[in-house]
Amino acid sequence: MDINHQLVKSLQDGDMSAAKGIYQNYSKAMYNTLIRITGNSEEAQDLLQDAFIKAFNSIQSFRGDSTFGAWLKRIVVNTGLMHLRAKKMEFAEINDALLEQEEENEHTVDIDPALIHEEIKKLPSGSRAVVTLYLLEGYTHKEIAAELDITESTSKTQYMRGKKMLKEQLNEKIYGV
Amino acid sequence: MAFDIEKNVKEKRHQIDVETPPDNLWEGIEDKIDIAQEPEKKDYSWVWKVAASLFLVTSIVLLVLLVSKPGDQEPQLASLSDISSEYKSIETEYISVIQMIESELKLDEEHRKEFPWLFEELEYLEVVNTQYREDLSKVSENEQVIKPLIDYYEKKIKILKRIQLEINRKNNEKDDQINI
Repeated sequence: MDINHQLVKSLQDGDMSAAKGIYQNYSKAMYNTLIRITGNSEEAQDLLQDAFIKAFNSIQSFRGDSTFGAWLKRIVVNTGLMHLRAKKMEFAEINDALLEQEEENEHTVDIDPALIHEEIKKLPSGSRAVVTLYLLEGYTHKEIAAELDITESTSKTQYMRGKKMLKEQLNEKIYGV
Repeated sequence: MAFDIEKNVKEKRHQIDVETPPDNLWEGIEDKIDIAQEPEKKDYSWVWKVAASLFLVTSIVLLVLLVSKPGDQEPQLASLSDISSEYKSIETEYISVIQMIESELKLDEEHRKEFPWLFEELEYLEVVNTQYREDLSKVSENEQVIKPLIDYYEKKIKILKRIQLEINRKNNEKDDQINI
């Protein structure tokens, strides 16, 4: 039995000290996901608190038929998306012709992961959410469409646009072009 | 130069989580934890029997009251069906779509506990819609009634579909290991 499983079991049995252990093990990953969804550290902090409170207070409903991490991540992502839906999302606009030129000569350059995180935060809110959900959280475009109340094809286009913008930003940071 | 972002992210997924939450966040969480203890499993079939009896009695009482004083018991609620036969069929279509999704989902208390954020949205939508319908029943312009009522049905269908996706996602995740 892994340590997180033991902590979850202890919390379900009423051992409140296990909650802190769970928080310590998962908060960093969840916080980063929320920063990428909101693009804002302060909002991410409030949402992180809300999401952990929701998760702990409904811990008895976790039955172990998915990993605890997956269950918690779903609550975290949904807390972030509820917040995002309440605001007006801004989608990336770039020339579609440029979009089609993309995908050629992709190089396997090692990019600093911290830089990827920083540059994702700078994307417009709508495309940032689509890029985060698709690229980092493994959502399908169908799921993203339902979550963000957009069409599947908008999700695909915004992903392409977001990715293109991200590449341009990284190019500028790394090569100054 | 173009980067292969997908490859970079796939290979370094864990390392992309670079920021650490401030230490004081935990204090705000700790104070608000309220974990209900799992009750022992008991036979609750009697609860359903009592509930069914109460439902039956309540239904009969309501029916009698409605027949004896028509229109006095409930506030008037606007509906698309009141506008024209065309809107009546649109409303019937929406209602049948909602019923179809609900019957496929077979939503129960477990789902409510599993996806509380979605049920909260659904409940909020119902509260707002009831208020809307009550207010709109006093409005004579049909245009003012049509849009909010259609919006309500569409929003409800969207939330139900999101619940459907969450259930599918949960089923697909059963054997997955998340990378965090």
